[in-house]
Amino acid sequence: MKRATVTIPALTSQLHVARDAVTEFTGDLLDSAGQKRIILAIDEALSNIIIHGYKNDSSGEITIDMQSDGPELKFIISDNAPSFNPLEIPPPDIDNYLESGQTGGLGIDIYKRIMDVSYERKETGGNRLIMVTTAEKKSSGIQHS
Amino acid sequence: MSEAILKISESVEGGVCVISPAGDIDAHTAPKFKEAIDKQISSGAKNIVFDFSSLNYISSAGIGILNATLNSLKGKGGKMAIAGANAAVLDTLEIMYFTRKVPALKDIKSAVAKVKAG
Repeated sequence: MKRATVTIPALTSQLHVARDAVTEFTGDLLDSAGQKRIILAIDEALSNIIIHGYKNDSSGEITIDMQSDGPELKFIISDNAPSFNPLEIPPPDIDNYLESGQTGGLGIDIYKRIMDVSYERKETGGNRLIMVTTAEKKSSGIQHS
Repeated sequence: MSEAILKISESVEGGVCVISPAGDIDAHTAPKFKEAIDKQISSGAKNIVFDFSSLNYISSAGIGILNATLNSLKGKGGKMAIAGANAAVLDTLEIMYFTRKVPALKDIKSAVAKVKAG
């Protein structure tokens, strides 16, 4: 089993630090296309936590626990922001999104389509997002809605 | 603390505004991308080609700005196209359904021809 952890402050300016850490961790585990999608999924999850969870309060922190065990690749994203379960958000109306020129609303849907996602409310407060991908999913690509 | 890098240049090719972002467009750098686009639209640009040949990464924050720009240009009777996106950026555009609405061409010349064709 391979494991690494990275913690970033709740600043969008630090998203690239998390992307670099995920790139380094997955370098020998995924092909380039699969790796880029995982980076996108993690980045979308972190962006949502920073902007909507912490509301850009830079005193907040987010920790990403990266684990590789056999064909399974798991990312556990923990924060202390107010409780929020992204799995309760319905999928976006894509036609309306494209026609109306909306600027946001796709992030959660994207990471849910790229990875298998589950959510836990932390007993001590905050949230834990568990994002998993498998060897099968790496080769078959994302699900289109 | 270091920050993600995004550099943006603008040019005119065949009478069409070309915006060339280099680096990463994420939730942090997206406002800078929007500012560059707004500046060109305010200056009268009706058709825009986005040269993504030096773009390393784009998240939904960047796609959202492209989506709003498309809506704005359509309102003026304008068009947009994407040129030179690498495989990863093109994959992201497809995941976010954006290639349903905007053509992604191999190079600037083809993209300029596409928007001028009407």
